[in-house]
Amino acid sequence: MVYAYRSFVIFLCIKKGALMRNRIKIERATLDITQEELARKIGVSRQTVNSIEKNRYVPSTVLALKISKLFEKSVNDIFELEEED
Amino acid sequence: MDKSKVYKSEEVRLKRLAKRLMLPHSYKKVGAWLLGLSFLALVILKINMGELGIYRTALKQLMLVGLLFMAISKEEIEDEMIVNLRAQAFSLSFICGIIYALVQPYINYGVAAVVAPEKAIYEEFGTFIILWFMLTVHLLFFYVLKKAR
Repeated sequence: MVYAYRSFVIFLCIKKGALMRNRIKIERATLDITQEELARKIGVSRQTVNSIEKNRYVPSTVLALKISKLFEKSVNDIFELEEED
Repeated sequence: MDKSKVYKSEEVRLKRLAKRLMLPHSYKKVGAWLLGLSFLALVILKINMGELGIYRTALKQLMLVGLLFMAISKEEIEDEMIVNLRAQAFSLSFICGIIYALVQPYINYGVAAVVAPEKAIYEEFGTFIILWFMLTVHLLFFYVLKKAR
């Protein structure tokens, strides 16, 4: 029962971010910064950065713009749709 | 007056109200203490006094206040994802609360009808049980969603 419920919740989270892909991990590696440092710079928690990186959460436009500004790239260079929606 | 202006001003007012309703993170502990202490007081008074009357209602309401404090207090880092998860947890608990309030009395009646048919009566829930259920389900959903992120 607990497993079924937990799977349902994880499914909800994954489903939400399933259509988006991002290059945050690569960009982060280029700048050599940790998730914690990135989170501090854009004003969110480390868990949120982790969720965005793993495509479990689609960030708002404001957050996407903050991330793209930090990496000095356009939003389209960092985030892209996985399929036509 | 232009309708769109009315809608706009209402939107601004509601957003401001939603922001003000959120309590600081420290209230999470206050809520937990309130809940724990009122529950303890309820148990102790019940053992010592038997019938509690108005105190029982007051303590149960204090427990609800404690749960509410826990539900509407901010996280240490309150970012957009947390706001999103909280909204999901609130909507899920709201829907679950309605289903529970509508279905559970029939289940209780059905079980009573099978086990002890002579005592089976249809009884609707009071506000305390529904509010308690909704708040605890909200906290549970929010906790699981936070852990799953």
